[in-house]
This record gives sequence, C-alpha cells and structure tokens, in this order.
Amino acid sequence: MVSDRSKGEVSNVEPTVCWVVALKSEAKPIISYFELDHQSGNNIFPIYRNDKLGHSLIISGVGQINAAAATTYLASESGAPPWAAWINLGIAGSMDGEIGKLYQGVKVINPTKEKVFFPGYRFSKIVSLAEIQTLDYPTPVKKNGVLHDMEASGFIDFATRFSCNELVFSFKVVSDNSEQDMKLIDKMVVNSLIGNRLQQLDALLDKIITLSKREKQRLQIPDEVEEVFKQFHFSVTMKNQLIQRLRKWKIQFPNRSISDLVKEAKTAADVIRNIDDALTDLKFDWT
Amino acid sequence: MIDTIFIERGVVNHSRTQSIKSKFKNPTIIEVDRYQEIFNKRSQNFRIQKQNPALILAKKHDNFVLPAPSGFGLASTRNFYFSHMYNCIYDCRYCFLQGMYSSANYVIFVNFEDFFDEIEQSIQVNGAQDLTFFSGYDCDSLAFENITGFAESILPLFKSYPKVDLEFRTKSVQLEPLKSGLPIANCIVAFSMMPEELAKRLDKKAPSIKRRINAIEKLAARGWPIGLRFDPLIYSKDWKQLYKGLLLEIMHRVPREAIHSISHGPLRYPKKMYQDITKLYPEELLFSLPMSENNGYVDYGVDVENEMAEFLIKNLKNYVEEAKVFQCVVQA
Repeated sequence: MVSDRSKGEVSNVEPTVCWVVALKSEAKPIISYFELDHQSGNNIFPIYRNDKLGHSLIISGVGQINAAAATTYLASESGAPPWAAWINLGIAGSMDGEIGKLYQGVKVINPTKEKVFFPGYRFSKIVSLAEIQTLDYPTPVKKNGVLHDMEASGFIDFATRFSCNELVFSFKVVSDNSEQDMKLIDKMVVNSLIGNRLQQLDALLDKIITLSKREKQRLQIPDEVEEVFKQFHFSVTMKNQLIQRLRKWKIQFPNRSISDLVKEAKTAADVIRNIDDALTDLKFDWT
Repeated sequence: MIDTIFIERGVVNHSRTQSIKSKFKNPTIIEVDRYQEIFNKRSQNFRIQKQNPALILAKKHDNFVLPAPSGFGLASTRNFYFSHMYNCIYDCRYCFLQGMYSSANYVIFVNFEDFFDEIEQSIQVNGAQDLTFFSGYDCDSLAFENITGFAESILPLFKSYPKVDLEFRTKSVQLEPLKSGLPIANCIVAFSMMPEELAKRLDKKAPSIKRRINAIEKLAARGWPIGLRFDPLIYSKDWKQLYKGLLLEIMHRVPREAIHSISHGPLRYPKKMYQDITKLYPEELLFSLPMSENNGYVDYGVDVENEMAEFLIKNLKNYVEEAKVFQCVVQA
C-alpha cells in the first residue's frame, strides 16, 4: 500500500520522480507500492505512471544501451522537468555484500568505455554508499567492496542530461555474492529482494522529493510571467531579461502584483523599463 | 560532518591522508584516479551539493604558487597566493567560489611539502623582501585547520623568512595553532568583517562578528599581527550607521598597535560569475538589489563604491595611519 504521506504530497502531471528499471520483476514492487498504471501505446518500452503522485516508471530491459535509450524515451514521453529526480533501481552482484542490502551508488564506472560518474546527493544516514561497476555481461568474478550491475552507467550518462547530477540516483539491492550463486536468482527472488526494501526506499524518496521541490522553486518560471508573455511580444533575449528582473522585483516587493507593472505598458520594452525603474533608486534595507 | 571521502589512488597511503581520514567517524572511502574526475564533472548542482559536501584528498602537481589577482595585494611589490584547499566550509552568499567552481565538495591537496618547496623557490627568485603570500583565496585559511594542520605546517617556513609576509585570510574562530604558539611578526591573521546585521543574513555557517572580534582580541593579546578585511563592502539603507558601529566596536576592543593592515573592497563580480551565482540563488535579497554592469563587471557603480571607501577611510583615520589602509579593487 502507498503510505498516506506519499499519497498526499505530490499532485501534478509532470513527473517528480522518474524510475528506470531493467526488469519487470524488479519493477513490480514499485508499481504496486506507488499504484502505477500501465500506459497503453508504448510499444518500445513499457511505461507506468501515477500522475497524482508524480511517478513515472519505465522498464528498460537489460544492459547499458537499453538503460540509456529508455531514460531518453521516458524523458521525452513524460515531459520530465529539469527538477525531476531520476532513479535507477535494480539488483546487483557483489563479492562481499550482504544479500538483500540496499546501496546507493556514489561512484559508477564503465570500464569498457572508461567512463566514471559520481551521481546523486548522498543519503548516508539512510542507505550505505558503494561503488558500482557496470559491465556488459553478468560476471561471477567480483571485486571486494564493489557492486556489479549492467545498467547504472548507461542510465546516469543520459539522466544527467535531463536533470542535474545531484538528482540522479542509482540504488541497488545485493542479489548474489561469493557465497550465493547468481544462478539461484529467479523472478520471485528479485521481487522479494526489492519488495523488502520498500520502506527504506520510501524514506529516501521523502528526501529526494524535498530536493526536487527546492529545485522546482529555483528553476520554475512563475505562472504570472507566462501571463505577461501572452500580453506582449517578447524576443528570446527580452524573455530572459524579464524573468531575471521579475525575480528580483518579486524579492523586493513580495506583496505587489505584476499587473502594476503591466497596466501602463504598451510594449514588451515598456514592461522591462517599468521593472528597471522600480528596482533603481531602491533603498537597500536588510533589517 | 563529512560522510564520504574520495581519495586519489596516488595518495591513499600518504601519511597526511591517513591523518585526515582518522579525524572522521566511519566515512565511506571511495578511490578515484584524479580529483578532477569528480570535481569538474558537468551538470553538478553546487547548491544541492553544498548541503552535504564530500571531501576529496588529492595531490597537486603544478602551479602551487601563483601571482595574486590584481587588487588582492597590500603594500608589497609582489603578491602571490596558494591554495592547499578548494572550497570553504562556510556558505557566504556573496562568495565568488560558488560561481567559480561547479562543485561544492572540498578538495584538500595533501602534498603540503610541494607547496612549501615552490614558495621557497619563489622567495629565492624574487628576493626575500617585499613579498606577500596569501593563503585563503580559494578557501578559508584556518576553518579546516583542525583537520588539515596546514597552518601549523607552514608557519616554521615563514619564521625563517622574516621579511616575507604570509597572510591567513579567515572568518574562523578556530585559533590553534596560533593561540598556543609564539607570534610570528610576518604572519598576519586577517579577518573578513562586516556589520553583524549583514553577516547574520549573508555569512551563513560562519562565526558571528561578535565571535570573530573575540578571536581577534585574543590573538592581538598574544601578539599576532592582525589584518582587518572589509571586503566586500555591502550597501544597505543604513550602511553608514552599521559600519560605524562595527568600526567603533573594533576600535574599542582591538588595540591599534595590533593592526598590521586594513583593506576594503567593493562587491564586484565578473559578469559571467554574477549570472551563475544569481541563477543558483535567484531568491537571494543580495542579488535583487540594484547593481549594474561596468566594463565586464557587475557592481554598485563607482559613486557608491567611492562613497563607501571614503567613509571607511575617514572613520579609520583616528585608529590607524593611512599607510595601513588599502583599497582592493579587482580591475577589469
């Protein structure tokens, strides 16, 4: 069941959280927990959504190329804003990791392409941190202290093009180690490994959504600016000027309406001039 | 508290790496090839990272000592700076570091001895007088001292060159090793100052002005030469009253004999840096105030800058001789 907290917090059509998961068996617990609905018409990669909660999930298939392609596809299909958090969740092998333990990948390397990433704001109070090595084939040869997966690198390479590095996360549950063979892993095991970590993932999501909301505040163009754009013709440069100036104006005059600046204006340039006039000769008051 | 330390493979076994590691409780240790692979990564978010910076331990390979940027120096003919650390534990809203680096992680170069060698070479090349070396251009000189021990390591070097000045630029009230050591006449402890009312709004995570003045008082009593740095000067409706109050407090508490130098500089950014910082903090009052672009720099304009500078000089007249007061202005 979705917790009441999760249910109530986010309500918008743009996704706040975009999940990229390799296998249906890895995704099932998330689909069920967040009550995601399958979106019909997506034949390339299956997509699941819950618009009320702001979650989108795509099943990429195994491998880096699939992960990269699915990430790009989800970004395009969902219209994910630059403040959306991107999460790659799945199982990983380890030499010495405890079976069933969840890790956050803070260094992800792709030895084949000699690429290295350091994704995500670190949540060390909630989850253990680890290095992940993304390989092209499943391998029983593993290095101490390092997780092995097949998607993280491809996912991060592309997710960081849609959101900032600090909002891109790779979480892995250890599925096999030197004492437990990977051949024993089946769909039921995978489902259970991920399902057992839902509470921890929920705690992580709480923090991630807070970060995302702060980024939204920083990046989102206020609705009232869009209204001004509709009233006058602004070039691209003038649009940027207006956004910058209006942000300053709003800080100085939080209780005034933008309509004050617009009502006497005849052109876009007039609007910008009105703001400049309001911001000049201002007596700086810090106290 | 630092939860993660990235360590360059080449310095994993360095004694200073081991010492720094031991100061933190159970950090996650991740090895990297070179610090740039994490520090210079694209699409990093400085603002989010600043909430929980990681520590990166690295080796610096070259450019240990560089000529100080124009407007940074004092009376010396030649001014140099060095940075054993990138980034700062404080989060001052006007700080140029937030527009200079894409990462908020702290980098510490553990090969201090290579810095010391190049400083000595610079002294030899330039002659052992009329030189000043500045520490604290890319970080706060003393704020991380209990972790790095850098100041303690470098002081003996400058003790042997009494005519070459070293300046520690800081907001820290962490006074060791200075408080327990004997003062060195050519090692100046320079505190960044602004009126408390402004510091409360802008010097986030930094010690209050009251605590800084207490620290200055203690170091002055020990005999350390004190620098006062009113840089940047921040404009406000009642700036004269605020700065006058600050100056009176300092004059009352810090004996004039302890003052090595006083410098002041306007709030001024290269245009690109200003744009980057305002994008990071669009809701910040400091950046909503009228500033204009002049010769590639964004500033209050020459009239305000001059008025503030003249006010400061006039009010310092009865405290220190004019020759000890310097204006630091980054030139276009």
